[in-house]
Amino acid sequence: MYHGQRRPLKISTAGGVSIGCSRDFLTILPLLLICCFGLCSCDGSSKSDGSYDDVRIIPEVVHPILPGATDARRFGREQKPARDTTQVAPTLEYQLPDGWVEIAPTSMREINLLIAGDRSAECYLTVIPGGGSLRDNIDRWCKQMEATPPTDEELIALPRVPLLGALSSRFQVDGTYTDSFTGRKIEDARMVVHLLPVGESTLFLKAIGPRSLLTEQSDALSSFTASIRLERKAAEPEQSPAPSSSLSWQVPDGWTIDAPKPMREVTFIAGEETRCWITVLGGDGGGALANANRWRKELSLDPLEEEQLVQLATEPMLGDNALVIEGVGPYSSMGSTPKENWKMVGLIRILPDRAVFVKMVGPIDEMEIARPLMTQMASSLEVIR
Amino acid sequence: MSKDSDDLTRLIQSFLKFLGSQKVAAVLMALLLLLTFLGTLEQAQHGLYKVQKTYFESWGLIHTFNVFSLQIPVPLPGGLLCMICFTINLLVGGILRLRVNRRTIGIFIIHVGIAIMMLAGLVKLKASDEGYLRLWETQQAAEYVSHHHWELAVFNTNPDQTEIHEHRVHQSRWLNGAPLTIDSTAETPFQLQVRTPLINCSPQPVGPRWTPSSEEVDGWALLESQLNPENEQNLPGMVVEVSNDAGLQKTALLWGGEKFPWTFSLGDEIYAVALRKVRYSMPYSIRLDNFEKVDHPGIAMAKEFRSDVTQVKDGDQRKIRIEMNDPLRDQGLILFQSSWGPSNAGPEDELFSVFSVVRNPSDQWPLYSCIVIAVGMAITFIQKFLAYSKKQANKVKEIAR
Repeated sequence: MYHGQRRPLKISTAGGVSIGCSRDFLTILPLLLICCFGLCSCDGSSKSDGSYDDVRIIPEVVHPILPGATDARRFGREQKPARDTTQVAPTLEYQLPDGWVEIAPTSMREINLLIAGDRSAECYLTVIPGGGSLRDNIDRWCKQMEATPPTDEELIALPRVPLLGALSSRFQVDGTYTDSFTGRKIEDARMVVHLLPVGESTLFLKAIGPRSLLTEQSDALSSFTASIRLERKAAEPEQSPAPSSSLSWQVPDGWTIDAPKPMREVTFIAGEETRCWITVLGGDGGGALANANRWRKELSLDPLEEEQLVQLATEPMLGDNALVIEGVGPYSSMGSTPKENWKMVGLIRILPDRAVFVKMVGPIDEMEIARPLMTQMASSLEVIR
Repeated sequence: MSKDSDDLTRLIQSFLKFLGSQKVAAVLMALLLLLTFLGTLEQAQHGLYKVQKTYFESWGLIHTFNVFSLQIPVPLPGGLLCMICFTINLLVGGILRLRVNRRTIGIFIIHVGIAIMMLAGLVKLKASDEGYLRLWETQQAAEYVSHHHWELAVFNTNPDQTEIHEHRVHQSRWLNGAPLTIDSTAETPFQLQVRTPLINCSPQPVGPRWTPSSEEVDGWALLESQLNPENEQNLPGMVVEVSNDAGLQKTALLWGGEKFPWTFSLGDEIYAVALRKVRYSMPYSIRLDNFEKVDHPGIAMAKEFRSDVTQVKDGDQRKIRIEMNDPLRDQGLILFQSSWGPSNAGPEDELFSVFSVVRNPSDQWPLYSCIVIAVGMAITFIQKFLAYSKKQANKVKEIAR
C-alpha cells in the first residue's frame, strides 16, 4: 500500500492541473461513505409491505403435488402398515442357468449375476426412477460400446420380448465396451439390454461381456429372461423378533424432546450439550457386559470383567433394577472428536423379550443437574401393551 | 467567518489525513488478519456458514478469548466494517490524495486495481447468488437450488395452465420471528399469514408423550431443535393460515423437510404452499448425458469426475463437458462440477452429478483487477529500474571523472 506522496486537499490531473479543493473532496467523501454503507446494509428482500417479493414463471410445477395429503404423509412420518406375518412383499425369482453365478446385489442391482461364472461377463437387473427415454439410453449404451446409434426406424423395429408379464424392448449392440467407472475395456464385446417401463420407473435387464461368450450363452440368457417372475412367499419366523410394543415415559421438567434419531425410541435435550436417549433392542441386545464395555470404551476407560458387573450400582427401572454404568473421561462416539471432561451414565435393563438402554452424556457440570432427572425419567418408564 | 472556515478546513484536512493514513491501513490489515485467524479457529466448532456470517460479513462481533480458565469477551469490528474502512482508506490515501503525475502513475494504477478487487467483493457479496443443481443421467433441469436460503412459494396447481406462477416470499421477511401477512392478489385470492417461524425444528405428533409449547395444528406441532452449525442441516418450520372474505380459513404447518407442499382447495382450484430452499431459474436447461467417475486404483476415492451435458436454449442444443477446474460459463452463470452421489453407491451403481451454480455479476472483475495491478506494478518497477540505472550510470561517470 502506498501512502507516501500526499497533498492536502487537492486533486490534480496527470497533467498537473488542479481540478478541486476541499469542497470537491467534501462532496466525494460523504457520497463514498453513503454508497459503501448503503450497499452493505441492504440485505435480501427489500419489500416491507404485504405483497409477495416476486412471481417466478415456470413451464411446469417443480414439486410433487399430492392434494389432500395428511400431515403425516407430508412430513414423511406415515406409520408403516401393520406387518402381515403370513405375507411379505413380492420378491424377484428366476431360474439360474447352469454355470451362472449369483453375486451380492448392490443398492441399485436387484439381481446380480456372472454369466457362466466369467468375471468379465455380467448380467444384472436394475429399476431406476424415471430412467430416461429409450433413445437417450440407447445412445448412451452405443457410446459406451463405441458403436453407431440405430436410426429411428431401427429403434421402432426393436424386438419385443416378454419380461415379467409385459413386453420389453430388446436392444443388442456389439463393439468395444469401456466401463465408465473402472475404465476397464472389453474388446469385441456384446451388450444385450431389455428395457421395460414400469409405472414411473424403468426396469433394465442388462447383459454385457465378450461377444463370443454371450453368443454361446444366448439361449441361457433368453431362458433366464423368461424365467424372471415376482413371487410372494410366506414369511419365515424371525430369529430375533423386534418387540411390537414401545415404551411410555414422563418428560422431566426442563427437558425437551429432540428430533427423532435412528435406533432411538426418543432423545431428550437435557442441557445445552447433554443428551439422554432410550434404545430398545431385541433379545438381550448384545448383553449387558458388551454394552457396558462399549460405553466405557467411548470414555477411554478399561473394560469391566464379567464378575465386576454384579458389583455395579442399580436403579429401579421397568419393574426391577437396571445396571448403572457411570464414567468420566474424554467422550468420543463412533469416531467423533473427543470431548474432554464429559460424563456418561447408562442404564441397562434386560427384559425377557428385549433389552432397554437409557444413556445420558454431557459435560460434567450439566450432568450433575440432569442426573436426578434421569433417574426420575427412568423410573417413569412403562411398557405399552 | 473566514477563520471558522479555515478551522473547519484544517479539521477536515486532519480527518482526511488520518482516514487515508498508513497507520489506519496497518491497523485494519492487522484486524483482518486477526479476524481470519479467529474465524478459522471458530470454524471447527461452529461451522463455516455461521463463522462467515459472524466474523466476515458482520459490522461487529464479540469474541470470547479463553485464557486459562478465564473467558474474556472482547468486542471486535466485523470483517465487513474493516473492509469498508480499508476501501475508504485506500481510496482516500491511495487515489484521491495521491498527486498523480508521471512518477506516481504506476502507484495510482495499482490502487485503482485494488479498488476494483474490493468492488468485485462487494458486488459478489450483495448481488450474487449460488446454489446447486443435481442431475441423474438423462435428467434435465432449468433451475438451481440455494444452499442456505429459504422461501415460501404459493402457486395454483391446475395442470391445464400453460405456465405456473410461483408467488414467493424470501426468508428475510419471516425468519425474524415477526408475524407476516401477505395480501391477496388476482392470482392468489386469499390472505396468507405466517406466524411462529422456527429456524430449526421438526414436526411431531402431539400426544400424551409431548405437550408442545408451540401452536398445534391438526394434532401436530413443531418441536424446536438446537441450531446445527452446518446451516444446510437446519430445517425451518412455521404455521401458515390462508383466509379470505368468502369464508376461507385454513391453517397448516409447513416444514422444510416436507415431502409434499401443503395444498388446499378454493373453488375449483387447488393451491399449494411450499416451504423450500430458494430456487433460481436459469436462462437455459442443462441435461446430463453422461457422468464419469474414475477412482484412484484400489480405493473408493474419486480421482476425477466429469459430466457430459447438453445445454438447451430455445431449441438449440450444445454439447459441453464440465469437469473439475473447467466450468461452464454462460449468460452470467457459472456451473462447476462439485460433487456426485449417492455417497454409498457401489462401483457399478448409477450416480448423479452435482454442479455448484454461481451467478456473480463481478465474476471476471478480479481478473481485470489483477491485470490493472500488474500493469501498475510493471510501470512502477520499470520506472524504479530506469531511475536506478540512471543513478548507477551517473555514479560511474563521476568515478570516471
